[in-house]
This record gives sequence, C-alpha cells and structure tokens, in this order.
Amino acid sequence: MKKTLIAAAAFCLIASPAMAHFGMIIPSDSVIEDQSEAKIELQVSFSHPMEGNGMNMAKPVSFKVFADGKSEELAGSLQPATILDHDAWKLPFQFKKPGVYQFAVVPEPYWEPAEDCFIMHYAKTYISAFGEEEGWDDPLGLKTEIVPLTRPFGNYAGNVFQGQVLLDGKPAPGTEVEIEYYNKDGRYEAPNGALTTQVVKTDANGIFTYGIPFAGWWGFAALNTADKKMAHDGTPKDVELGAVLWMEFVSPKTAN
Amino acid sequence: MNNTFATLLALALLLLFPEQGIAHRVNIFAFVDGEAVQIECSFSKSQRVRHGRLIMTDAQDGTVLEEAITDEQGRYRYHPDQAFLMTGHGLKISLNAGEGHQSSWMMTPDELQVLAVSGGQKKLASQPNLLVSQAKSSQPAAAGQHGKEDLTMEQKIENMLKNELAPMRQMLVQIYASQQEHGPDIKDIIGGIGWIIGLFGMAAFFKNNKG
Repeated sequence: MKKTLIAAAAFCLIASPAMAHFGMIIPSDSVIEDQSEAKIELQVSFSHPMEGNGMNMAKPVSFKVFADGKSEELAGSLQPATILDHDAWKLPFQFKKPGVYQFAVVPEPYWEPAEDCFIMHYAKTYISAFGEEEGWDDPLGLKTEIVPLTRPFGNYAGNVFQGQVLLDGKPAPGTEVEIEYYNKDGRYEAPNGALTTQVVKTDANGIFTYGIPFAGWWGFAALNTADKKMAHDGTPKDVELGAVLWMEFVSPKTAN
Repeated sequence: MNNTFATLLALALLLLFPEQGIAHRVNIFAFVDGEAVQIECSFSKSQRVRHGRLIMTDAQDGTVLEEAITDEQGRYRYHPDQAFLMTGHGLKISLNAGEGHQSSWMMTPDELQVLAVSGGQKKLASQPNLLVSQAKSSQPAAAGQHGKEDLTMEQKIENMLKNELAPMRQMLVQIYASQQEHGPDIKDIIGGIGWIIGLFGMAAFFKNNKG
C-alpha cells in the first residue's frame, strides 16, 4: 500500500511536467462535402491530449460559431458530456449553408494548484462546409488567438503548418507554442516524456512553423501570461492565457 | 511560322478562359427555399459561376428533368414538376462550368417532399416531410379498405396508428432539430410521451373490445 502510494506520488512528480493542458474543441469532421455529412458533433473539453487524461471542465462562458462575418452564441445549447472520464461538453450542429465555420470557446478560469496559477485556454477550430474555402485567415478578435498562415483544413500529415500568434490583437513574438497529438484511443505512446508535448517558439512577428509528423487531430497552444492577476483564496495569482487551435491532418487514401 | 501561330492561338485561348486555368474546384449547393430548389454555384464565396450549365436529373432512373443556365450570381431557381416529386425519387443536379469544372449535388426525397402538393393532401408548411411521405405510404392501404371489407381489426388499428403517429414522428424530428438550435423543449417531450401512451391505451382498448 505504502509502496503504491509512493510510486503514485513519484509518478505524479515525474509525469506532470511533461503533460500540457489543452483547451479542446474536436468536431466529428473537419470538411463537410454534402448533406449526408452535414450533421456533426463538437466535443469541448480541457485535457492532456497525448496522455489521454481529462480534467473537469466547468460550463464555458462562451461557445460561438463564426461564419461570413457573423457570429452566434451557442453556449446555451451545450450539453454535458464525459470525455476522457471527466466532465466535458458537447454540441450537435448542422451546416445549412456553404462557408468556413470557426468555433471558439471561452472557458471559466481553471485553477491549477500544481502550477500555482489559473489557466484560460481560448480554443478554436475550423470546418469547411460544402466546398467553401474563403475566410479561414480572418482573425476572430479573441483575447489571444492563432491566425493560420496555412489553410487550417484539408492538410496531409507531413505538411508544414504556419500560424501567427496574436495577443490583444497584436503579434506575440517569443511565445512558446506547445503541440500535442489527440491520442484519443491510446493508439500511440510517446517514446519518452519529452515527446508528449513538442514545443516551438514564435519569431519576431509572432509566427511559428511546425511539420505534422503523422495523421490525426493536432492541437497548438500558444502560451502567455496575462497582465492582470486573479485572486485565489485572496492571493493574487498569474493567469496563463492559451491561444489554442485544433486541426485535422490526414493520410491520403489508397485509390482502388 | 506555324509554331508561332499555334503559340499565339494558345495564348489567345488562355486569355479568353482565364478562370478555367486556375486549379480550384467548382462547388454546387442546393436547398429547398420556399416553393423551389435554390441552386448556388461558385468557385468560392467571391467568385461565382456565371452562366454555368445545369442539368437536373432523376437520381434513380437518370431521366433528364430540366436543363438551365446559372445567372450572373451563379444562381438558379428550379421548380421541379409535381409528376417528378410524386415519384419519391431523389434529385441529382449536375453543373458544368467549363472544361474540367464539373460537380454535382444530390437531394434526397425527404428534402424534396416539402415541395410536393398532391391532389388529396393539404400542404402543411410547418410539418411537411413525414406527413407527405406517410400519406403516400398509407394511400394504398386506404384504397384497399374500400375494395375489401375483410381487413381485420388489427390491420385497421395498425392503419389508424400509422396515420396518427405520422405527426408524432414529425414532432420528434422537430424536437430533435430544435434541440440542436435552442436546446430541448421539455414541454414538447412530455407532451409527446403522453400522446404515445394515450395512443397505445386506445389500441389496447380496441383490441380488448374486439374479443
């Protein structure tokens, strides 16, 4: 018993620095081609995607869809869900018109005792419906966000992805971007702790580059610390602001 | 000399058809809008397919129903005729927007049934789909009722239930749809369950009375 506890404690100590937090929005599809694919489900969670560990996520402050320069608040329609064994949210959605749809979540601040700070991840994802491709490079005006320089859908595994990190609408140079694969079904195992989360940094213009090594959903979390602190039990604490982007990278199909 | 001419001709052709050379796909999108099928054709949001050739065909047997040309905005409003709608077949809309730019869009019978107005059926704008499909499938049964008197009580109840349940099914579809947009309406759900229980109660009553 004691041994197990010590092992567990040791595991926590060793394992936790390797796990990165990710605000997540994972839709059931990233490219909608016809009416038979028009109904999708979006899953919203706060997780360690490569390790496949979840955390409980409070109901988001906002969950919006953006298309054609317009936006709609959908937070009221979010339904409770269980993702990676933890409290999360889901939303069925039906595409009615062609367009590039952006979905963005604003969460409640998450208190992370291990890091002695609050975490707020502004996560978003893109879906192209019925062949429309214009509008993916429009920033949404979030507190912090990744604006893609590579079209954020219809990419092969092995492609290079480039994006610009904005904080309060301005490019954020020198920002660390953590990258993880959504290891939903435990398909892969990181050969060592350093491979759980990969890291790149933005250049002087806030731009980063990453080559996607294998197919699946990949998350990019650009991390900065907010100017303002938030009180936890009366003590002011740092707030980690994450601009998170989720994209699907696919392998080509074999022609028959 | 001949080569120069060929090159010039090729260049002239390129200038005439600049869009065709661009490596992008052509999109076709169609939906039921009021009394017609609205068809929209585009290369992208800001580049529409002007004067693209459209061919509407019966998705099941390939019969050509209509040919048309899109307007300056890449649009066309197609009014399918009732004879086609009553077949209950799907619709295939093919677009030819110049060399190498072809695409098609399928519409299911379910989507199209909103447009069908059959002689004996009143059109209910708000709950069309299943009502019409239900009416169609129950018509032969109704005709049989007149022809033969030997329909058993069970068959009659079955027919009655089928007819009564049609709006119910439609309601459930609407509840599902409204859930997606506005969240579930608990009143509708409880009402629906009550209706189902009531109908089964009625069925049980008739069955008992028969014996």
